[in-house]
Amino acid sequence: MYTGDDFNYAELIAGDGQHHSDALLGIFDAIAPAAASALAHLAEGDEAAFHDILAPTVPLSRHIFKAPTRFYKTGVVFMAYLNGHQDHFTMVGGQESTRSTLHLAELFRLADKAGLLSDPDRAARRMAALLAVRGIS
Amino acid sequence: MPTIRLPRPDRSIESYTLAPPRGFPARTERPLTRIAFAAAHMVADPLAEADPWLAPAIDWDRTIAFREHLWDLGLGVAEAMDTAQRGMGLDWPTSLELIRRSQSTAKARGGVIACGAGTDHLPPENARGIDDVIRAYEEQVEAIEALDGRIILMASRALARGRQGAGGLRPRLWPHPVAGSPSGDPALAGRHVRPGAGRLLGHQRHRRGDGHRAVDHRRFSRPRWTASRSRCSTRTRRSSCGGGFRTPCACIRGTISITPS
Repeated sequence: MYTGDDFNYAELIAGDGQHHSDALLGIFDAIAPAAASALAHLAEGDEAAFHDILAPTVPLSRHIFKAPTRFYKTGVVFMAYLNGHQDHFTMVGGQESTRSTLHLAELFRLADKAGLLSDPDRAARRMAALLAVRGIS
Repeated sequence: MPTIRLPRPDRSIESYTLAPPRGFPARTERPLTRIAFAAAHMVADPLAEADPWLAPAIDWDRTIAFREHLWDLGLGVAEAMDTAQRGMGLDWPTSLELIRRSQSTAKARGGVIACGAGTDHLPPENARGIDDVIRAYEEQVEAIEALDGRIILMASRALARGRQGAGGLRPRLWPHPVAGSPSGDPALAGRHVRPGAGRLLGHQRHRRGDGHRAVDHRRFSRPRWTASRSRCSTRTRRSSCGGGFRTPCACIRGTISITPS
């Protein structure tokens, strides 16, 4: 059984020793390197390292998926922009506009705290560019 | 480490200094003990001569490159799901093109992939009953299977609308709790449909080192739904259908079900 729970995935994937979930998650797009690293540690039997990596991603996930949840894609794509998977923050359907400036700023803090901004200079530069467009420079 | 000015909710600006990244590897070499699919996003083409609200313009190269990144990490790709803006910018024809390209790339490199099948080419207001919804599901399932794709069954706005009794449809025409994952979709809000829950059909097989094995086997299907499909070969069990149906399991091969969130 695959968990699709973007709020409680860490403990569901780890399991209780008898049962565990596999995963099918939207948040794994945004935190893929952390998720893969955590799963590799789990495969080695190091559950502490698994939780050490995933625990700080949970607040980020809960933020990205906060209500109105359907706008979570904006946070997912913003993460891809910050991490250089794409060179622009535009989305199909103009969906880049669905989250507030404060929301994206908090996403940036939480992604940083989870160690997920792979190139901090690039991420800071791109965040600053977005903020400038939105009136903060 | 760089410092950046970030707005706070009280309208003040803080000076925020970034922490060093954790340096996660870009590639996973060893086999994992969990199957983990990432529902992958679309990369838009920002230079397309198109109205963003009206026509999806996709940067296919970057979109597929992102899937390569996921496969490099040892993850599977859940394709054309709501994370790919299915139903929020991505229509079914473009979704099928995405599935075709992604399937082809996955096959070439042995990447794990499964694809979302729903009813989004059927406007909810045009659904006259359960048969229309089943037919719509079948069309998408067949299109994906024609590309050798595995199916992730998605929730149906048409079914949700019918189950709520909208448009004059009687609730008894919609006897089954149905499935899928579109998170927070207002069109799916209803007492019979659980956003985030994959609860229709579910017999899944996965290649995990030692060949195919059934990982999960639960839920149910209405016999007519699966009449043209392979019956579950591993065992027969009674369903746990919330609607009280008790019928031998008959499943679409390879369908993935997702736990409620």
